[in-house]
Amino acid sequence: MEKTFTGKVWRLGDDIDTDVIMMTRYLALPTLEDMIPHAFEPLRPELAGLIKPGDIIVAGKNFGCGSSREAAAGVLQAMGIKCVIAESFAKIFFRNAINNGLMLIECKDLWDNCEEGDMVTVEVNKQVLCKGKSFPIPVIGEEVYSILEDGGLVNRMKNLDKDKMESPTFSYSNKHLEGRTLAEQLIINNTGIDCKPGDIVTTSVDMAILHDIYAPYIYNQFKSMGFDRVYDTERIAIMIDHLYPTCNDDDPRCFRYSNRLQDEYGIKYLHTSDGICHQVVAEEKYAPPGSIVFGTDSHTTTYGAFGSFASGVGFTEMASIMGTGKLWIRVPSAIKIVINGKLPKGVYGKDIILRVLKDIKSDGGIYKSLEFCGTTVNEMSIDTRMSIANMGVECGAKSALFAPDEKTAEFFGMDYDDINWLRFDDKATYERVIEYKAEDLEPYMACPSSVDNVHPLKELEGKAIDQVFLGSCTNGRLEDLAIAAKILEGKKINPFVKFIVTPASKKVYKEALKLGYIKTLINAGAMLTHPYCSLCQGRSGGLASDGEVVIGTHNRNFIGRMGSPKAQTYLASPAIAAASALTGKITNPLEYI
Amino acid sequence: MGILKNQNKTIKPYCIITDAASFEELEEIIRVNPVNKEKLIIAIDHDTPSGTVEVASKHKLLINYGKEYDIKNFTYGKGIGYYIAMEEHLEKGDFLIGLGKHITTVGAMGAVGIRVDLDTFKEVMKSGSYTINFPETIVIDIQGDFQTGVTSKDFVLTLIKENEDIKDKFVIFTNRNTLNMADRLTICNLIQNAGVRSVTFSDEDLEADLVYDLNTIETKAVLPGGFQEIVASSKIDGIRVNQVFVGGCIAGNIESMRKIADMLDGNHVNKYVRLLIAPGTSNIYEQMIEEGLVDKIMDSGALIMNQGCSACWAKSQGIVDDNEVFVTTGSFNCENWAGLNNNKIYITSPETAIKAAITGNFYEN
Repeated sequence: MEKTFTGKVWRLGDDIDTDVIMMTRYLALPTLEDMIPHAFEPLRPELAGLIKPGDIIVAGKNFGCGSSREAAAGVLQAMGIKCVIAESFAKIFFRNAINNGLMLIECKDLWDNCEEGDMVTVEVNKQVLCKGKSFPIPVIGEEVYSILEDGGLVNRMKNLDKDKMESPTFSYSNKHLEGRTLAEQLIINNTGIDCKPGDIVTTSVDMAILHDIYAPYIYNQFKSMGFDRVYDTERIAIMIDHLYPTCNDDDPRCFRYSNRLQDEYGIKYLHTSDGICHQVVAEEKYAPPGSIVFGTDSHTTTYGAFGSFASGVGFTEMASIMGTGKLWIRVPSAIKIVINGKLPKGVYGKDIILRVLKDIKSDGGIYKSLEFCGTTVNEMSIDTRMSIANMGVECGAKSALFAPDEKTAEFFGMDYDDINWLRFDDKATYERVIEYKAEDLEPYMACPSSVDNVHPLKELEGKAIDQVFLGSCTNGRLEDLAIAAKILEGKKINPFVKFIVTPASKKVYKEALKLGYIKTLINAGAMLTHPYCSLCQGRSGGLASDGEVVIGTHNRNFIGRMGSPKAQTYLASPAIAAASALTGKITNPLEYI
Repeated sequence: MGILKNQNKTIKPYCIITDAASFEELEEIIRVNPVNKEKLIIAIDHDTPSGTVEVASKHKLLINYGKEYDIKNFTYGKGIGYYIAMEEHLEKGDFLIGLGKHITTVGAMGAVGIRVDLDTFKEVMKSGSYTINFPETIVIDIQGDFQTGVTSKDFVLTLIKENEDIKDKFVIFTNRNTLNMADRLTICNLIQNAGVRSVTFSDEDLEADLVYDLNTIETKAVLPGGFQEIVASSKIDGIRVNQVFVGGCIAGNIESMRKIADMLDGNHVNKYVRLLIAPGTSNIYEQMIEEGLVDKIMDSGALIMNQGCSACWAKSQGIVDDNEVFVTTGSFNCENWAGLNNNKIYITSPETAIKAAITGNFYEN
């Protein structure tokens, strides 16, 4: 690995998300080289053609935030970018980059002191120099350094002696640990190591969730690493949820490879038409309280709703998990979010998490564990907890946890006594505590084009809209369809509004069918799709043209994510979405519920 | 009714615009002030929800037009335009004018769908009138019943194969007691591949030019790439299948949905096959729910798509890969359809399609 190098600067701002780096519609292209021309397309379409090998990207805060797509990191490496120097990095991107042999350097001051086109010299572990000034940079941690030295994770795994590899053991003491955050309790229980925030430990992966959009890449990485079998055929689940129905040319291949992974490695669980992975995981109980689960989707944090330490990883890391059954993590410090009181009418879980994101900001939770408690939380349904945990990743959180309670126990058909070892502890150390009075909360919307650009609904009412999307792993569940059906029962939506409804899973769909919600929504004017990721991922199925205004109940409104970079996406609760479809403008649902 | 009595008459027809029209065609159409708005049907049905930004831009032209002229008969994603025309507007003996070749489908209910060019269409919208000019007519009397395993698809393929009698003509079918709506839709939709000008089913007492005894119809297959090769069904003898679609003008109706729900009940889609089912309209979807068909279909592993043209149009739903085999009840089997690869598309009946989806193998015999 080169210890000193110099390169030309390309300067980007804060919160460069991975949709901007590589849009969803290109993720199923067969190779990273195919993706290169599309790098940064929605933001700076000319940039991909200008970057030369050896160049350096300098960016602001939270570089690489958003989706877990490894291609965002892989493509930068494939383009020959020597390193990225940013004020801070999103955590999944950080790992993906290291695993692809792309060096990342945290530097608070370089961005303000350089211009595009400048030459920067990097002295690894020491400093960066630009225009005669020098800025200190941190020492790269040992684990990270060794992966970079190996040239990335694939090489590292190739070098592993597969025969001498120790399989993970899955025996846990399941005893309450005093003075610890939920994340610490989960990690200590899993590893048996008395660790603290900042420490690096290796976890045993209770369940690995991978899905269709990355199946060909996972397959190829797994093979390249030299593995010939998976660590446990019953601890891996393959989810077909993004690319079926097949909408783009590369989609059938992903369907094929999802099957291929099962056929060649004997993986027991393949869910072909059951719905969005995160909902299916809940229904199939793949992430019970106390477990540690990783998935190739950033919204894997959803399982925190059950008290599972769950987080998103890139496809290369998933391949290494499939082979070894283990993954290293840095123990996160935690932010406690306390919500007490009774929510006003018309205010839901979505509004709570949007408010939290407004206050924490998109980089305020990087690598933290968000931990939710309070009387309001105790009253929340599992659906609502999932909705909140789902969006925890949007502030960079590693996990978003709720302590399991009687509701959780009932959901999993478990005895509460068996899981109450995992609970909040008054003596635990939290980096930050944020308290909310539920009565003070109101309906919110995230405005274009970042998830933390949150404003109260009352500031936005009346704006004309073109399209409404009700669905996704954030808000496509039974209670979401229920509130929309209540608002739209016997009514017709504005005829010029495009209204797409996608239940989160087949089970949700069938339950909603029995209760009459599906019929109500179709009758009201909805296009009722099969349960899958649908429009959220912005590949097809409802893309918006220039200037269109979209309200979605999903979790990301990044530039270009809904189609045209000039479309405007607002994120909101299902109640706001349904009421707005009715009137054709952003509407307070209160009079309809 | 006397449909032929309309010859040379100037009538006030229904007009239909869908998003099958090109961007350029729509740009011209939206400049026309429609004089007969009650009879103007705008149905955005082919690529819904919009599969690309370009399609969304195209849709926007029609949406803005609908808003500007306060078009009441405007639907977005509520289903196939021709189906909506039949459900909500057309009566027996009505005329529907439009740009698309499958407009002949509405003959199934005894209306007449006439395809015109863009200039004529704009004229009709502007004036509200159209002068009927029937080409030569041929009356075909249908008698008897299909033998077991023979369907309306085989009948229409037979007609197409023997097409000299009906090419360039206006075909009127009479006496079709054994044919249900699904059969008539299949016939009226696919028959335009024989080059007919239009087609309808009439219950008038007309003298037949030709008689077909359905008893004599044999099973047939049509090979990918158009309708030039209509062959004995034995030629399709176990082809491995990748994707199956049941929907569109031919099978998006409630009769077909009942049939396939019954076949799927208790069975499972083959692991390697992608099965997409698309209800033709919102009304049909609701009826499927009422009749308990949805659970049976979903439990088999099939995907129930949103209402509309779906994977018949296949520009964004139901893309197939290089060398994949796509068995469909859609209306298109041309090269480079449903993905720009060397795939093979076989048009068939819903029954045959579902069998292929369950077994993974496609047989026409």
